[in-house]
Amino acid sequence: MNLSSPSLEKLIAELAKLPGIGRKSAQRLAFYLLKQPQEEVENLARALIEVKQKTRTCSVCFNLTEGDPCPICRDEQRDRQTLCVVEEAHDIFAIEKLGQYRGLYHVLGGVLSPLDGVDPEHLHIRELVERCRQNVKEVIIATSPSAEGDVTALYLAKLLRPLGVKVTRIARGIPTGSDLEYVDEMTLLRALEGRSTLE
Amino acid sequence: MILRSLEIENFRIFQKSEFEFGERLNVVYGPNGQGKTTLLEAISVTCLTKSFRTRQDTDLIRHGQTFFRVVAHFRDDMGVERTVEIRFDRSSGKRILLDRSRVISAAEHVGTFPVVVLSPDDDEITMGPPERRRRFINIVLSQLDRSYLALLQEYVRVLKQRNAILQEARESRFGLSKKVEPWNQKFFQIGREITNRRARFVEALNLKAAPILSELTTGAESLEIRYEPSFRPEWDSYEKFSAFLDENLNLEIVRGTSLFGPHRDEVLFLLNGVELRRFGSRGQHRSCLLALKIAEYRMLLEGKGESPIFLLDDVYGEIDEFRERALNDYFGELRQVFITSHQRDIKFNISHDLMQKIHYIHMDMANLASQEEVFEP
Ligand SMILES: [Zn+2]
Repeated sequence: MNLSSPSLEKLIAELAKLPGIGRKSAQRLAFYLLKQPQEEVENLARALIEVKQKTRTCSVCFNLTEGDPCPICRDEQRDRQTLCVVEEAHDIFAIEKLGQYRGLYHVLGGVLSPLDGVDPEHLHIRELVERCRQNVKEVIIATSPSAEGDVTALYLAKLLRPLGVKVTRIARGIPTGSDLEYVDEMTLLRALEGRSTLE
Repeated sequence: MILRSLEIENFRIFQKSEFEFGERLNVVYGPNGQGKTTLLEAISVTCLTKSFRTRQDTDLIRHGQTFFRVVAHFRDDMGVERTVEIRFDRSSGKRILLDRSRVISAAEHVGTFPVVVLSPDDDEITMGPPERRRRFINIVLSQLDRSYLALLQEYVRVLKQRNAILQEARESRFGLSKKVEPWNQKFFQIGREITNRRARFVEALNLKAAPILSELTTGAESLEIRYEPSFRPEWDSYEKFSAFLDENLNLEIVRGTSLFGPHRDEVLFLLNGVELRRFGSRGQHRSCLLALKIAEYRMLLEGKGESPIFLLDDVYGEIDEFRERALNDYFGELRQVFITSHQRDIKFNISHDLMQKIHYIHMDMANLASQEEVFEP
């Protein structure tokens, strides 16, 4: 396309890089933004820069946070003897939205996948083992219900059980191949409730 | 189930075409190379999400295009109108849209519109290598059993992951046993399940196909279909399987691939106790294949409660008296049939009502050319 405005063209190209945004959506968003008041657009631009500057990972659970440790890890009201292991920080959002889970989290940063060169040492597994040595009673593994998610759960169960930790896996009520992020709340809630002990 | 019409876009030689079909026998005729088989291929894609001619979806995209799209309008046996749209894009992959509203996975879709294909390539089922027999079983079983395809996809995934570990172990065995162990466990769990389902399926197929073959050969031939799984019956627990794998780990590392599992299964066809693949005559192969296909049709009909469509590609060029009689005996029970033919008039004599209502689809250069965009690069 030959646009008379190179800066508009640049914005469209940047927006089109976002996941789930095609060229057409990027155009729509760009024209929408152009129509907004100056202040609104500046707020958005600042928010983008701030989130990148201020957000870091929690040194305890690897959640995304501004303060370290993260608010969940700092919350004394939460059950500190239960850990929920998730793949990515955005999975915490999905579970927190339910408002049912009162324990702490641990973000692995992915799942085991030899095809992609992801071995145990590439995930935050060593840190999880360390945490489990300190008064943790139950670990709930909430990796996605894929082959890789299951195998990661099996691997962790084998590793953690000798430490005297009860290891459970959320039930497979979640459709195969779906990310936790996209699973509806009822399904996720049932899955959490129906977790089973890993053999 | 009836396929009422089909829209095709950017699919092999088709640029943009629409077809209407008859409720019983559809004869797709015209010279070779004019898209007769391609039309059947497009129909199979709407049912199976895959072509019966190629595993590569990109092969199906018209030259110079970035996607293909097929939209099929069905009427099921209850009289409900159903629509499925399959779109494959080079960059974003495949999308299946059911009834214009619901995006579903291939595993969810396959079996909704059951189909039986008989193409020249199917000779390989009884004559070719074991993977052709596994493929035959996979296609029928995926349609019959709602969760089989998802299971199979997961198995392939675990197999690839496990093979990646074995290949890596050729370089370094550091931490190998710890690394491969959880994959072995998952591999066994899924592999066992696939083996069990295949065993049940082959038994049921045998029960259906054997009497048909016996009828076809007026009692001269008796068929036994024997499933020979790679997973041994004595591996009834993960511990036993794991012990066996440990013993053979070196061999697997040397080969860099998994040597045991459903991807190594075999199915034997025995005619009067003799292995068909090694000792069968051409005629025996053909009657066996026909018995398998009729059995497949009946199993899908009973299992799904929905009459499959039957696609018959290019077998008429070589029709013989035996097959003519066979088709005569069995075609009556088929609901909707598509056949490809060189000539408009099929040169054989079938008496039943399937032949009374024939819908002709003429495929030729002119027909295609009229739908072609005039474009000189
Ligand atoms: Zn934290």
